[in-house]
Amino acid sequence: MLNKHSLLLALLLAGKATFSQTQTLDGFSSISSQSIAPIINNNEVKGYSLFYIGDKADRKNSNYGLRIFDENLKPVKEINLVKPKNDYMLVNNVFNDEALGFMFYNFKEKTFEIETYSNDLTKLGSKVITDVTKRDNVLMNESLKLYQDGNSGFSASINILAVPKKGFVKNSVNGKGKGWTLEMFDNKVQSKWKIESGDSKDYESIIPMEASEKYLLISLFKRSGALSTKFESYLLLIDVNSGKKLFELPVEGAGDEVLSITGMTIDDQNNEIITVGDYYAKGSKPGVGRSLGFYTKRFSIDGKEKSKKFYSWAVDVKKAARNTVIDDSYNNYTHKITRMENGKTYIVVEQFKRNVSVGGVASMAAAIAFGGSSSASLLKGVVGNMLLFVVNPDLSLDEVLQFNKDKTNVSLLPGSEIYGPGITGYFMKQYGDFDYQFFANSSNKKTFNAVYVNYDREKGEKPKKVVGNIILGEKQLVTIDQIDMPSKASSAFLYPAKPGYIMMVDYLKKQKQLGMKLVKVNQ
Amino acid sequence: MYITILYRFLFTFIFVSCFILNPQAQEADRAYFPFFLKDSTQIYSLSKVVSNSVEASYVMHSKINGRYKKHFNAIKENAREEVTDIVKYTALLDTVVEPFLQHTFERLQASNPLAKNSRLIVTRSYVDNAFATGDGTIFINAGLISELKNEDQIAFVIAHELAHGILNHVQKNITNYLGSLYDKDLQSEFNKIIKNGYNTNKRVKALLMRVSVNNLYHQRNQESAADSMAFYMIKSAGFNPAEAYNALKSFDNSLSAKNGIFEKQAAFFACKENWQKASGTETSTSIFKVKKEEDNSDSLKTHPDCKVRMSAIRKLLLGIGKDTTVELSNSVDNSFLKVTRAAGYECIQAMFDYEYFDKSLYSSLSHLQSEPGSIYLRSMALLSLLQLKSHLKRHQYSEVVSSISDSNPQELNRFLEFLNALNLSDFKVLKETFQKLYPETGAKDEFSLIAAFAGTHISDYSPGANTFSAEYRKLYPSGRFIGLLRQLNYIKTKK
Repeated sequence: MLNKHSLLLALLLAGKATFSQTQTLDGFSSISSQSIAPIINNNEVKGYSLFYIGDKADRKNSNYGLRIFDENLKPVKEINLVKPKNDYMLVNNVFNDEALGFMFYNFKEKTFEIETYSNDLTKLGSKVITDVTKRDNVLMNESLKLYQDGNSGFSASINILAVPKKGFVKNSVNGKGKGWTLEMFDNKVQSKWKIESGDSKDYESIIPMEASEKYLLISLFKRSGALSTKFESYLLLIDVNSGKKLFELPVEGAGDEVLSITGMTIDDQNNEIITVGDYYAKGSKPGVGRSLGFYTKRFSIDGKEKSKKFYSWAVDVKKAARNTVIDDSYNNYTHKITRMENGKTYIVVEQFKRNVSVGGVASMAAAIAFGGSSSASLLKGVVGNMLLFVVNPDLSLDEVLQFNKDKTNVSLLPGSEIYGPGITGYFMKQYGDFDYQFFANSSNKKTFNAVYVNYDREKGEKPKKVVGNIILGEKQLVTIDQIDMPSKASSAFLYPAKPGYIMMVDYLKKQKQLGMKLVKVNQ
Repeated sequence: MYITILYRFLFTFIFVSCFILNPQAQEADRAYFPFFLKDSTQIYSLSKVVSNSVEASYVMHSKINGRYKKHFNAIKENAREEVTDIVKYTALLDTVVEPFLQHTFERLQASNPLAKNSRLIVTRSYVDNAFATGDGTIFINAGLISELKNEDQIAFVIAHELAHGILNHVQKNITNYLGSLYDKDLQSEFNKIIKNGYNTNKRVKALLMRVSVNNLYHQRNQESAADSMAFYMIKSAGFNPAEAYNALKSFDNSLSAKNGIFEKQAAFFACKENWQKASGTETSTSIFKVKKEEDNSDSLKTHPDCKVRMSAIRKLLLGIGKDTTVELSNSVDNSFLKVTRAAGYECIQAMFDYEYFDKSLYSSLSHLQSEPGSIYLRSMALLSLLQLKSHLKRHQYSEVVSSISDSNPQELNRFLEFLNALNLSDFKVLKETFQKLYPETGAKDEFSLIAAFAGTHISDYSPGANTFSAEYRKLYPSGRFIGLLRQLNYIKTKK
């Protein structure tokens, strides 16, 4: 209906009438997915931050901009930061109901900086953390490399996590990677407590999973030495007010059960911890080989197991999946577990498996033949379909839904062959190998959407990037919606958005133009 | 970036814009359908005449440097292109609005010899604005006409723009702007900033702001001068000068505009349950409590505040022995109601043509309250619903449904909340509800037929949609909705 010229005129005629559900920003010479971060409150997206490098401030420093948008992409405020040029990076930003926390890393000074802002975006406090270990620096440089390569993967080993209404927890890796440190700061970045892994002879690493007003839930891994292939997985619960450990439970292979854990969450409603993972045949190693099914467990906050339920692939899942055939040669990585207002627990899972890589074997064989060494992994990863397990309040399996997507091959880290699939899944998650993107729910826990990308490959056609949305709508029915990703953009990224929407970003390198757009999903 | 900023300033100087208003409903002749020209020859030749005239009005001063000259020529070229496009794509040459306004314009010209070389172009744009170009051509948008109450008010708007032309405001603004931009001191300051290389953006922005504030100050003085001259122009042409005050008063009330569609079209909105809750008004309040930055918007406006303008007009009225603080005129002028109603239809059509489907639906529903029998309004409501559904399906909804904004009337914001809460399945119910309120007539005129098509398309009833589409093509092979049918794949485009 409109030709090129009349479209131009449409803009002209619109005068000041703008669609603030979209934003077009000019003058960006480069962009990575990390440049934009959602600001999340109570699991619901409430805004975005856009971090960018501006012009020179003086001989040593640059002007960095932190542009804040609300959930409708309406600009809220721009914060100008004068920081060392080319050596400064935003690690992440989080919101804890009362304050926004930004953590930066200064590559030149090898320091972390935390700055906090109230919801009127006035500065509450800041702190430069100089006590940074060698390992932290190595990890930050790895992260920078991923960032520069335009990957979305990022190390979870160093991060800040929002503790609702209380402050922020920063985690880091000790010395040579043998232990960990957790430090809690209040909203003004005053230290509240600091705990470390202690003198255990084991090597320990952690991933903070979730925080509530009372508890901090941690996934803890132990191994006997730096080169040990045997990981033991633990669930660690910490009191956020005191930093006191409430419990530390072994979750893989406890008693006569052979389990791997792939997800955990705090159930605030019931004051419980929910874990999800796969179970294996008695006598086998957890996380190695083919599992028999998956399980969910509930623990009270004193660490007592309150309930557990096992679901076998052969019987329970098959029955709940009705006519859908689920390929059980895959392992499952749990991205999200959430209990919704309807009482049901929804577990978002993505299939993955490890296959022998022909290239890796050839490279290894050549290395052996010529007396060298190979950095290629003997295994390659394959990412499969998305699954949604719906568990009723009485723990019976309500349904299993499969969302098909094209298989994606990924390179695994050298040495992956010595770990079990559970640990491989964690590594794949850290390096952004999965197609899953994010999960967003309404704060009343009535609706959610879980978003993934499918690389749709039709024969004879260029692969098309399609966004898949698994939606729990107002009518409490799970549906799927698919959206084509912009194909003309130099790069395109996806972010969670307010309920019922996703946020799509496309970047046109030649025009130096960044487009942010809220896309309403179809329910 | 600097170039972008410069062009924004430049645009301000090309047109001296004028008015902002609020909506109201009218009742008049029912036979009007928006302007649609199958043969564009007349409009194309008009666009050529106007663009040549605009181009000729740009006279360069001697003794200017090369950069100034280049910039001046760029402004001239840009103005020529913009004006060509505006005339080509928006000029309104209908049988109701345009002749009426030309008559008013001629009356003003007849009593004001200085305006004899001016020209009036009425446009289909729904934006409530009017502006003048340097050659004395005046553009008035349908969006502004539809909001005025009587011919005296229209005369004031035209006279205001004529005054800009008579007083050479466009040329003066360009000279002032380029003069300050290429001022030796400013250039030297700019060069220093660039050479220094630090905090360039912030410092250049501050420098340009200084130039623009200075120029805007002059522009606001020009607006006051144009108001004052317009006052005497309409008086000498025999129009009621008190309506200048009333016109400004209605512009001042534009944000509190209320059509009462939620009360009067309650059945339509009731078919989507809990939409206020679903659209997130309860939960999605912003977490940010940022105080608005010091309000400098007033110093950046091209026009003085309406109340200041009203006060100045009141002084002029007192000067001629009239004190008019009376309420807006309620006298019904049927010939003018016919004009405002037609202008209202043109606005709806322009909103639809330029893909502002949220606004075309809102306006159609608003007008239907007072004109429930209007075939045109019924069909535009259904067509807007069709386009909204189609864009939602293609995940382009946010491109055609605007976001809630403080600059919108509250009622429009509420309507946008409603649209944002809709899901695909809601459109069929909305359409059914709408057709219960406004039943199909079965008539075969162009708008009734396309409305019937839209209804079946919204319901995903393909056989019905195909039948109506074929019938439309047969009866109206060059009709205005052929493009829409092609867009929706009811007409295959040959490769």
